[in-house]
Amino acid sequence: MTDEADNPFQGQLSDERTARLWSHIAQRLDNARKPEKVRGARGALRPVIALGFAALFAGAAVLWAHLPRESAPLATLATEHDSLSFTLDEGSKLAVEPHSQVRVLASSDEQVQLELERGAILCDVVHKQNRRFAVLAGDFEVRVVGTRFVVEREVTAEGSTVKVRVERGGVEVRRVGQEDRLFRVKAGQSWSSQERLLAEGQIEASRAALKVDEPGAARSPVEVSAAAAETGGTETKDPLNPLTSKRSLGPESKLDAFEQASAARRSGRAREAIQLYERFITASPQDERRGLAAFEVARLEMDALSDPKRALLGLERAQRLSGGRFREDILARLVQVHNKLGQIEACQRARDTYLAAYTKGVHRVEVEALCP
Amino acid sequence: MGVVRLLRSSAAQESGDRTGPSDGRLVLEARTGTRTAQEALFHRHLRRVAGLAHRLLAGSSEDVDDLIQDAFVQALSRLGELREPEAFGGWLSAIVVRTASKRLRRRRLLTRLGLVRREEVNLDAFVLEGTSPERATELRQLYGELLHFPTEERVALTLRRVEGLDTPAIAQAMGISASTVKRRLRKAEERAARAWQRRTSL
Repeated sequence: MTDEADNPFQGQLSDERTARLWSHIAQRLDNARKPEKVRGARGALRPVIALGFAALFAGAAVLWAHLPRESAPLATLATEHDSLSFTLDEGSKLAVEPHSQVRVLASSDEQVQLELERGAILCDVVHKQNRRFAVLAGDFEVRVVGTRFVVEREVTAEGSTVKVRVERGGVEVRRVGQEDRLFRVKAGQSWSSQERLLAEGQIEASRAALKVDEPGAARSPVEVSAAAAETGGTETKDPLNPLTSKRSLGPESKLDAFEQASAARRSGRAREAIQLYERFITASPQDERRGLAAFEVARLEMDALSDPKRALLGLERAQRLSGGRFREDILARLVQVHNKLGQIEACQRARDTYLAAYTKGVHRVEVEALCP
Repeated sequence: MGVVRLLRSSAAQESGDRTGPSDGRLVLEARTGTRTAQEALFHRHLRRVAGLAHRLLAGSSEDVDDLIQDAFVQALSRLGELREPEAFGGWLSAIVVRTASKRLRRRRLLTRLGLVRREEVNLDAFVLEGTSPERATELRQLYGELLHFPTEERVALTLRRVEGLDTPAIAQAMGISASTVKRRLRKAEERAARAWQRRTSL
């Protein structure tokens, strides 16, 4: 509410205090979720609980199907280990896959609008004249022409990816809030967008690139995906950033390379960021930021490229180069990587090392929950 | 009006890192339980929330930290109730103000009942380094007086005179009507004026 420069509290917010505050908040947010897990762990009650959930979901589905159709959101449908299938009054069938969450924004004779927050939903939509059926997923709107299709949204720490697979009929994909159709996906085709949540710059770059139509010009991820969909329906192979992969890195000073890498990372251009960090590490053997650069490479490989094997190698290199700085972050990441790779013993060792070294560590809550 | 005057810029700027995704996008992501998005919202708004909590409570750092935690936990666990994700900052401020008001009312009641000690405030904590001695004295006096005001008047006056908010913004933050805000501000200003007269007549 006040001008930050005029805020006497500024100097009192140390990094340690900030970390402690967030740690407590994260802990309380976790605790708020725990009762469900505790109840779920009571073996004797499991069947009863499962039946209860099933009844609850069935009730939610029935309720949704009969809810007044004007206001939004009408309901939120969340699944855990089971899928949820139901049929709308007008005959369209929906199946919410396990571990998914869908918000029902509108359901009327004029329009059905769903928002996929995570997971996947299968829609078998009956064609109805003058009725708009759409699924929103991140930045994209999948508008139905009368079809059977699947929309998936994978949410990661770095952003989210939306995938559309059409089994029958056709859909149109748009940016949410924009009427211009990006492209149409037909039966047997699929489309994928590496939509990086934490990378608005990339999305802006994609939008800008959509206007480029010279032959051979760099294309945005969306364009490449669209082309793939139009020419055979295969998912894009390297959607992260073909635009930047063609960009000349140009002559840079060592300092520039690190800063440019960080800028690329912040704007979601993961591959370019990794290239620049690697270049910096090679070209700057004396620079103390090499450890940080190595850590960032590992983090990007894990979060943006979903490549835990490379991330593990990267973390080991970061340990060597960092000289003990940000050891806590590296250790926490090691636990996550081992866990992701299914290396339970290594995960437990790394976890125990972390917990012993950082009794009040900022990653403690997440680390404790891994490789039990 | 001697003591009570505008102490800060009225520019209602957000603080924290403004690069990266918008609040709206972070809120949408945080609603799915994504911890990185929740943490990004926390870091982005922490300084503003901490400053507001500090000035509203005028209490110990433990009290302020408790309020900060309560406010963020409330906000991050109730994101589904936020109709306009881009309005996260204002919504969070309103949560801080209401939570602070509750705490102040409870503290005032307990103090009256003799169950807790009268709050001890380090008035120097509100004075920026480099402030002129006259101005520093005024600030200390203002906060000294505010401690004795009824809670709602104290909060309203702090939001107006310290945070620099206008009437509609105060109404939104406190969850009351604009006319109620005006009434409370008028009473608070009169109370402050009387206190000022008492002091200057000594």
